[in-house]
Amino acid sequence: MTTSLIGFACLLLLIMVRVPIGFAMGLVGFFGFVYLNDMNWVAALSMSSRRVIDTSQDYGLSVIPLFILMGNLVTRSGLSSELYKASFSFLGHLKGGLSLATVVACGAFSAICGSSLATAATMAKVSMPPMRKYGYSDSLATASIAAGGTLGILIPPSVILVIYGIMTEQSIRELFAAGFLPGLLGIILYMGAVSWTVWRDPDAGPRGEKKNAKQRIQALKGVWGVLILFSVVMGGIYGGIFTPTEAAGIGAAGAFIIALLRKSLNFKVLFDVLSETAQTTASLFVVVIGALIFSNFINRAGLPDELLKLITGYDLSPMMVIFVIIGIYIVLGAVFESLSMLLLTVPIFYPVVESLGFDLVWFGIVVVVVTEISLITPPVGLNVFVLSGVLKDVSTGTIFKGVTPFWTADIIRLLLIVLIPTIATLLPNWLYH
Amino acid sequence: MSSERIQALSEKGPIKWLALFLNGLAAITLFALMLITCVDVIGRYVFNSPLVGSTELTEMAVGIVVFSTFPIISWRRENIVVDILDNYVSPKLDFIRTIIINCVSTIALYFIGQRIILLGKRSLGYGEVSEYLAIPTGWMINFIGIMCWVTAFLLVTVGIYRSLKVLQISNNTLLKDSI
Repeated sequence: MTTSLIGFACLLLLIMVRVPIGFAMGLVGFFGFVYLNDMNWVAALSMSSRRVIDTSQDYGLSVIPLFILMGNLVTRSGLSSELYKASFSFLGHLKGGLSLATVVACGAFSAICGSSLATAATMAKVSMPPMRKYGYSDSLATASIAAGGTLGILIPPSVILVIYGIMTEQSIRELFAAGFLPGLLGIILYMGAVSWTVWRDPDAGPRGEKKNAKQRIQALKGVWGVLILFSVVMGGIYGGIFTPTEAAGIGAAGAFIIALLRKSLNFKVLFDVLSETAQTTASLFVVVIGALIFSNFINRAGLPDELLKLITGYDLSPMMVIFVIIGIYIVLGAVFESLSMLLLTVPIFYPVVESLGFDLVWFGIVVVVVTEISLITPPVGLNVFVLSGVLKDVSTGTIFKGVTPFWTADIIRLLLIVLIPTIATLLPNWLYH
Repeated sequence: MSSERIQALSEKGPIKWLALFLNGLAAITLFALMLITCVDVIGRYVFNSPLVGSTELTEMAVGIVVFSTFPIISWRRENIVVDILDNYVSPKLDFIRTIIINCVSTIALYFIGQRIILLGKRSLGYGEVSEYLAIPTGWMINFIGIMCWVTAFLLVTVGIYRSLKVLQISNNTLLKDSI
């Protein structure tokens, strides 16, 4: 226990002085492993090298560059504005309608993009101007984008779920199936949060104009690409027609064709999209490799076992343990970047959760929902930062103020998923068991 | 201060070409990866003949994509970091910090690269090849090891040169602000 705690302390120190998280985890994991193996440097070097070699050529992880590529291509193709137009045509005439439309469009965009930050940044560009035009308050407008954007990592495809699946050896297909209903629940609760905000302050979100049936059908025509892409990719995975990697490859190619048809690609843009995707992939892999080396050390030090002994010693009920873990995540999430928080904690928690008899697919969804919450929790809500970066004239304070009802909606959703696991497990059980 | 501006100031001549080359290698491989999976799926369902060795090619492609861009993200400080304390760190301290972190990373990457290349040599010595296409597995291992060394070298050269430029720029803006 002491060894792992010292390891953790060193790790936190290194991360705080801005050592790249992947490097920090790798270094601490390496030296910890050396210490535990009677100063055997060669064994530790070989372990780390094997991790680097195997992880960077892992078939399962190959979905990551392909899904990121798909998301980046779709982002460049400008489909996000069509998604917004379509949901506006159905919801715009309601009170707070433009914010409702923003939440729905974010949810739809999440269905083809696996990143929350990208979803928030993309939707900000298309949904902020109309909300400004109709006189929406900045705090409601930005909060609906920031919160809606968090759906990116839950509604499949999701990069974080893939990484969770690799670390805990759970099936990516089941995780993707499990994320679907909680994602829908998130959209509904966020719409509730919008309604609540407008009910409290009707001036914050006035009605837009009503569209007739013909205009609605016209607007839906713009989003056929997204619908087809999502149906093929996720339908293919759910139905077992292709592996997640193949689905991601098809999805990326589909997004490439859509972008070509919409004439939003030239050679330079394509090169930029590809190299940007490669760089994002590399930065994710560095963290994943670091985390795997670190978790080798943590497991060798026996931290998960000792935690389990501690829990049985205190006679905590399994549900209490889950709530303690969630509490830890909410605290960590306030300061940490989401992916690194997940990579640091999952290797320690998942053996405990598993031996307490919980479903690891369900736990994955719980962890991702907590991570979503961390994206809009002050002081370090990354989605909020991204938004205030894109919309230079809105301060983070304004956004955090508007986010409160959405944050509450998230907590309600988290409780629902924890207390009624069926919300997450229904779809995977029905599809695969 | 935008990252494009830093890039324009700190990446000139050979470094610019090197970045372009590495990015190009990654971009082509990534595009090929997309095509490989599509050809495999279409071949399997439409023509009943899947692409032989597509799994191996996929695995190699991922390795190439990751390790050809690894040096770039490392010297441009684009690795994932916790940056909540950045506003409290002076440019000078940040410069010193970058030098220390880059030197430590270089030493670590040197040793791990050395070990990986050793494993690569060993694999070549045993004559290990991939299952379907009979590609020597040692090639990819050596590529990864060499790219670790390349990154190690670039971190203490380009990486430090870049942060020196950042320091100069921030000093200049401070001067202008005080006038």
